Amino acid sequence: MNMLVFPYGYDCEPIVRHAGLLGSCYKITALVSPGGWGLAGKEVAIGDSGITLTVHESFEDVEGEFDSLFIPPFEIQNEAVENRLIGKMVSLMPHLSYVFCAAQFSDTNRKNLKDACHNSNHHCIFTDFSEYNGLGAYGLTAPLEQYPSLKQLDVPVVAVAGLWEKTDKFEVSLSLREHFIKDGYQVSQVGSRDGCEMLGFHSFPRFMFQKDLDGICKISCFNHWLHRIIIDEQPDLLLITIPGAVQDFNEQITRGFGALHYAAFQAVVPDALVMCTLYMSEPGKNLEDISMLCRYRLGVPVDAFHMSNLLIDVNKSEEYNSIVSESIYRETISRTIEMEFADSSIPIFNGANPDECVKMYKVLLEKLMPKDVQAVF
Amino acid sequence: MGGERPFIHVLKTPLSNYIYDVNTNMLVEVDENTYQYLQEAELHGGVLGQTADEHIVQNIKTLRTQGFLSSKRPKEIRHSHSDLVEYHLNENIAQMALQVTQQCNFRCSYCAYCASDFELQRNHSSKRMAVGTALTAVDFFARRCGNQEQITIGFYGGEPLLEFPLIQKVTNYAERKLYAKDLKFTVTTNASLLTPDIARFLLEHNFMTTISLDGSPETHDRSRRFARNGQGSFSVIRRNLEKVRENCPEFKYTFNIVIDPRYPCESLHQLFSQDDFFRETPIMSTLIDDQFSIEKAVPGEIFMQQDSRYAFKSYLSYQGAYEQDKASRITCTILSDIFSGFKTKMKPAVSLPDVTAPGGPCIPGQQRLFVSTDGSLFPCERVSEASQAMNIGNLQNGFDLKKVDKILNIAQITAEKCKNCWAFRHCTLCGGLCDNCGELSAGLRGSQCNDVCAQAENLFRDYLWAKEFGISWDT
Repeated sequence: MNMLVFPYGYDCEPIVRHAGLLGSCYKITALVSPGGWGLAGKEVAIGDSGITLTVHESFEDVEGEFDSLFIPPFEIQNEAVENRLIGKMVSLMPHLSYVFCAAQFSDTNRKNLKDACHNSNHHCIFTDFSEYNGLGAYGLTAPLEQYPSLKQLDVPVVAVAGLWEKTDKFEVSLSLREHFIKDGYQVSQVGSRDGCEMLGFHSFPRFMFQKDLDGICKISCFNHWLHRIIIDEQPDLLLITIPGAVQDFNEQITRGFGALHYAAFQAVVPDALVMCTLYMSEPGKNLEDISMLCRYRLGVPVDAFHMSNLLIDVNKSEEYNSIVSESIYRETISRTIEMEFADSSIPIFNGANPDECVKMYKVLLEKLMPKDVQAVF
Repeated sequence: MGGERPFIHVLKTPLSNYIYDVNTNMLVEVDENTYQYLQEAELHGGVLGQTADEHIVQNIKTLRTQGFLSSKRPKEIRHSHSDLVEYHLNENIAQMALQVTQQCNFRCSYCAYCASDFELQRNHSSKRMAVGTALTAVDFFARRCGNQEQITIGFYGGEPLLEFPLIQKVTNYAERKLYAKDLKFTVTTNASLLTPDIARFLLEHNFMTTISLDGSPETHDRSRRFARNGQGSFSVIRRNLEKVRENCPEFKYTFNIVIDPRYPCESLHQLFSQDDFFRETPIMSTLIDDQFSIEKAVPGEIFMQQDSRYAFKSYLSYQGAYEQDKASRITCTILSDIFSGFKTKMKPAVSLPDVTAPGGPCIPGQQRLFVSTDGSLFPCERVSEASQAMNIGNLQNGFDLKKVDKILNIAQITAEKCKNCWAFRHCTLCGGLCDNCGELSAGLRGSQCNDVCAQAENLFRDYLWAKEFGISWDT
C-alpha cells in the first residue's frame, strides 16, 4: 500500500530514515507536515531506497499516489491543535483504504477518526496501534501473583535509555537494529514508541503505563512478557528502548521520577547499555557521573553514550517550571565530540550520524562477545 | 590574604551588611568588621589589604571554604549562544510583531515616533504594510518557528487598528497556515477605534489585547491626544470600553500605563486601585522611554514623594501590615514583577565561565522579531528603525547574521570594563540601548554603566531590606 505520512514532524524522522525496516507491504509515497513545523519544503530520503520526497504543507500539493494514511506518534500540544489535525485527517478519508494510527489521541478523537473510517466510501480499515501490546497478546494476565519470581532471559540484552526525553533513543535503537540484522543476527526488539509493529517489532507495552497496576506487578509482567517474546521469537539478541527519562529534572519537573526505567531494569538486567544524553558543550565530570548513576540506580554502568541535539536551558526551565529546550544543528554535535570529548573514558558518539553509529555498534558488539577465559596457572 | 582581588561587591542595609559574590551569584551576610575590610578592598581596586585582625582573617577563611571570594573573572566576552544564532533564527523564533502601519491617530507627548530626534528614530508617516508583505512575513515566520510549541504574532503600529482589515486578513491566513501550532495573537492599541465588533473578532481569534491608558482623565489627556484636533482621548476610550463591556462582556484586555515622572501621580494610583471601572482589569506599567526623545523625562519632586509613599505602602501590604486592597495596584504589580524576576536571576552558580557575556542582550530577532512596513527586520519593536545597526535583514534575503552577532555580543565593545564589573550578571544593557545613530557605541554603553550598577545595587538592597522585615515575594 502507498502510504501518506501525516503529520510528518521531527518525531517521525527516524521512521522515515529507517523506512527499510517497514514491512514490504508498506511504501511511503508522500509526506505532509503542517505549516510552522519547520519541515515543509524539505527533501527527505526514504530509507536507503534512493527515493527522495519533498515534504508538502498541504494535501493538495501531494503528487504521489496514496491509498493509506500513517499517523506517526507525535507530541500533541493541546486539544485545539489535536482537533484541527483530526479534521484534516477526516478530510482525507475519500482517498483512503487504510489508516494506521500510532498517535495518542483523546478517546473522543480516536472515536471520531474510527467512525470517519467506517463511514467512508471505501470502508477504510482503521488500525490503532495504541490498543496493541496488552498482556493478552502473550496469554498473560495481571495481577501476576502467579508469577512471583523473575524469569531468566537467556539472550544477550542491549538497552537504550535516555537521560531525558527527546534524546534520540528511537533513532539510535533503529540504527542498531539495522546493524545487528545486517550482520545476520536475529533481533527481538521492544521500541519506546507506539506503532513499532509496523517496523517489525514490539511497542513498549501499554501495561507499563497502566495506573491501576503497581510497580511490583509491572516488573513481573514486563519480565514475563519479555520471556514469552524470547520463547516465541528465539532471537540472538534482545534490544530494548525505554521511553521517557532515567531521572527527574528537579523537584517540580519530575516526568515520572525515572520509575519506568527503574522498573524495566529490575525486570531485565541488560548486558550493554547505551545512554542517550543531552547536548553538552564540554565534558566536565558529567559522563562518569551519569554512568555512576546508572550503575547504582539501574544496576549497570553505561557502555556508550549518544549525544543528542537537545539543549536544555536550565535557568529558564526552572523559571517557568517546565522544560525549555532547543534542538541544535546536528553537525554541531560531531564537532563538539571531536573537539571536547576525545579523551572521554566512556565512549561518546553522535549515534544519529551513520558513520559514528557504526563505531557505537562495534563497542556494543565487543561488549557482548563472549570472552575467552585465560587460566592464570 | 593580601594582594588577592575577590570578585565581589559590598552593600549595607539598615540592619546588616552583605557581600554580593559575583562568581557564585549569591548574597552573603557578614559582620561589620569584615564588611569594612572588604569595602576598603573594593575601594582600592578590589585588592585585599595586607593586614587584618584575627577575627576578620577567620571570617575570610570561612567564606573561602564555602566557595566565596573567588578572584576569577571572565577571560573572554562572548555570548554563550553565539554559535547557535543561525539555528535560533532558522528554527526557533517565538514571536513576530508586524508593524501594520507607521501612522497613528494620536500624537502622544512622550511618543518615540513623534517627539524624537529624527536621526535616532523614525517619525509617524503614512507608510502601511502591504497585504503581500504581511503574508510573506507569516510565511517567513512559519518556516522559522519549528522548534517552538507556542508562537505569537503581534500587531503593532502606529495605531494598528487603523489597519484592522489587514489584521483580519493576516489573522485568518496565519490560522490556516499554522493550524497545528499553539498560535496566539497580540495587539497593542489606543482603543480609540475599538468597537464591539472588533472586540468580538479579537476574542474569537485568541488575541491578547493591551490598551494604552495612562490614568485619570487629567493625567491621560495631558499626554495622549488626538492628532486631528489635539484633544485628550480619555472620554472616547472610556466610552468605547463601556460599549464593548456591554456588547461583548467576555472580551478581556490589559491596561498598559506609561507613567510620566515629571508630574504628580496620586490620581493615577487611585484610578487603577479604587475606580470600579478600572480596578478589575490587569495592568502593567512602565516609565516613559525617553531614549529617542529630545526632552528627557526627569522625575519631579512631587512624583518622587508620592510614588515612594505608594511603594512603601505596597511593601507594608506584602508584609501584612497594610491592607492589600488599599495599596496601589501599580506599585504592587511593579514590586512583584521586579522581585520575582530578581529571584530568577539570583540562581546560584559555581563560578563564572571563562567565556561568557554580561546580562542584557537577548538573541536578536528570536524572542520578538519585529517586521517594519517595508519588510525590514529588527530585533524587537523597541529599537530604532532609523538605525542601520539595528536593521538585521529583510523578508527577501533573510537575516544578516554578522549584524545579529554584533548586537548579541554588544559587550565586546566594552570587554575589559565588563570583565571587572560586579554587576556583570545583572547588567541590562542590550544593543538597542548602545545604538548611537546607527553605530554601536562603546561611549554610549559606558555612559550608562553607573546607572545600571546603581539599579542593581538598589534592587539588591531593597530585596535584602524587605527580607529583613519578613516580606515574602512568593505569594
